[in-house]
Amino acid sequence: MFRFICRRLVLSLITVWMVVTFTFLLMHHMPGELFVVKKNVPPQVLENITQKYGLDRPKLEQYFIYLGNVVRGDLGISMKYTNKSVNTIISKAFPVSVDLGLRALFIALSMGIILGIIAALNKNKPLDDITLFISVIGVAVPGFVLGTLSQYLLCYKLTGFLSRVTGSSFRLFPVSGWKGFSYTLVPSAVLAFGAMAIIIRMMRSSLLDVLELNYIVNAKVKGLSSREIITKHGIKNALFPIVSVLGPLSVSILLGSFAIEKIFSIPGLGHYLVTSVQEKDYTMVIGLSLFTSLIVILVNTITDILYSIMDPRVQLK
Amino acid sequence: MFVSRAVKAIVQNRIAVTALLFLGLVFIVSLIYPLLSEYNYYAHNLDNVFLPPFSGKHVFGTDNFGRDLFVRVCEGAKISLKIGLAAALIQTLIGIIYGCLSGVYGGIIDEIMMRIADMFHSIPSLIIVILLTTFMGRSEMTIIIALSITDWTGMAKIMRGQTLLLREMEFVQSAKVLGVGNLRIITKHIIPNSMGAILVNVMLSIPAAIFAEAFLSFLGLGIEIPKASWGTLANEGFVYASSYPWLVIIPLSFIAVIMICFYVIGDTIKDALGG
Repeated sequence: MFRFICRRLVLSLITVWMVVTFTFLLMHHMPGELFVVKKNVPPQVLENITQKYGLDRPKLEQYFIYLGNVVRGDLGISMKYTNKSVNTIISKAFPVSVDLGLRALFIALSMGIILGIIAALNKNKPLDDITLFISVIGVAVPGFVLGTLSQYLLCYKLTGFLSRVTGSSFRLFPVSGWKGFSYTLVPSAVLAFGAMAIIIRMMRSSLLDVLELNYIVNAKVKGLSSREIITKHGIKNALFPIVSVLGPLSVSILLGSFAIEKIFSIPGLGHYLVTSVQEKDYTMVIGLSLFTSLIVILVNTITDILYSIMDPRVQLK
Repeated sequence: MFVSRAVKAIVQNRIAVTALLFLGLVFIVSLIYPLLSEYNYYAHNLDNVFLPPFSGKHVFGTDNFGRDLFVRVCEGAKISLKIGLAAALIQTLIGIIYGCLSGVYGGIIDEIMMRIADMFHSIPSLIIVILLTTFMGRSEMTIIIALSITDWTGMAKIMRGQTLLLREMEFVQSAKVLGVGNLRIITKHIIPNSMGAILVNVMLSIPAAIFAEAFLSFLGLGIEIPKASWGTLANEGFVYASSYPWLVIIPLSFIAVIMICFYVIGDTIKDALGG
């Protein structure tokens, strides 16, 4: 167990190093020569980035300065604005992204597990078909498509209709922004949809598998009621495979939130990343991308280790 | 053998046949649209902006510059499908070569190659694609390259598994005893016998690549104007969603329906080949 965790951590550290080095190479050796051309950079900013990235030093020294900064948690500064650093943007945007992501994850898990159980208990009946339909839509249709369509239908049409009918200025689902509970409902539900679809399928098949195992038959023979069997033995053991996909699902929610943040104008990480790409604020793009990659690597590492603790068999793979 | 089994499975499934027909229709119309419409995808016509669908000869209406949306959707289909197919094929190729080499050589080489693949797998490919396109320009070529070099690990792992499995089989063992080289074993025995897994993977990679491209373009980080993939069209139309919803709903519907079609076909093949 300990050895597995150590090996996993070492692997993650090497990955982090690879990503950091990749971003460094990208900054210095791509066509366009980011730090050579330097056009349209205000003089004060130029002075700042020269100091921050050690641009007046040899390349190798620049690399170690960059590496040192990242290790200390300093991801760089903007090359457009004098008063912006990557870290200030992250401290503003990341909590918003985490908030949105956790809401989505909560919806995906709770709804996915409940619908999955319903589907399994109604195998090959209409209810099962309905959940199958929902999960096909969720798996196949991209989140940004659902996001735009539901913004149009729910936020413009339905909300507009309701406030016209009631004659009040109350907005059920505001179109965009991030200013309160009602603003979070549609974005997090849409963001949750894809992950929920996968959880439904997994929960259904794993519950059906578990219900055929010998100890369930034994519980039946013992005379437990079917409700007791399902809640006490079935669901608990069927939840296992869900944990194994929690990592990839959280990652896909994090990345999917980039589009959702654009659609609903939510000031999260994705919003700032897209803006800085469009403003050609390259050091900011690098810093934010690096941060997102580090978070993804961290999530993957944590879930791998968690899963290995829950199910020691995976280490043997 | 695998291909005929896959075709048979599709033909026997009504939903899969419909999906395939629709894909074929979109593909053909995107190639022959100049015969169907007198407009082109780039010329502005400021007298005819924001025409709703079915107004005159504009079947899907026009956009903010008076460009015919039907023609732009056809042109977008070409770009989206091209990027999807090319990226999926290159990914698969890289994955096959990497996986076979790793599996055939085995031992420490296998261990190192697989750890490298693990690392690539845990870096979010979308971020790498954003970085590469930001620094290398946003042509179709860079997007194809960026998508191909980030998402090959899945195929590599499957191919390695196949190789390890097949390597121990009697016909491969006897080929080895007869002195057949590694390269020949890979091309003559391992790849032909893994065609099922490869086919399933290609069918899942194509929609994934189309999705990735559409996602990027929708964020405004993909193909640049005046060329437009479906994602770009949706991104442009998004600004006008509240007043002229068809500008965003039509391209998005195409993305959604095409994705469902690929998903249905992929699933059918997967079930048939047990991938």
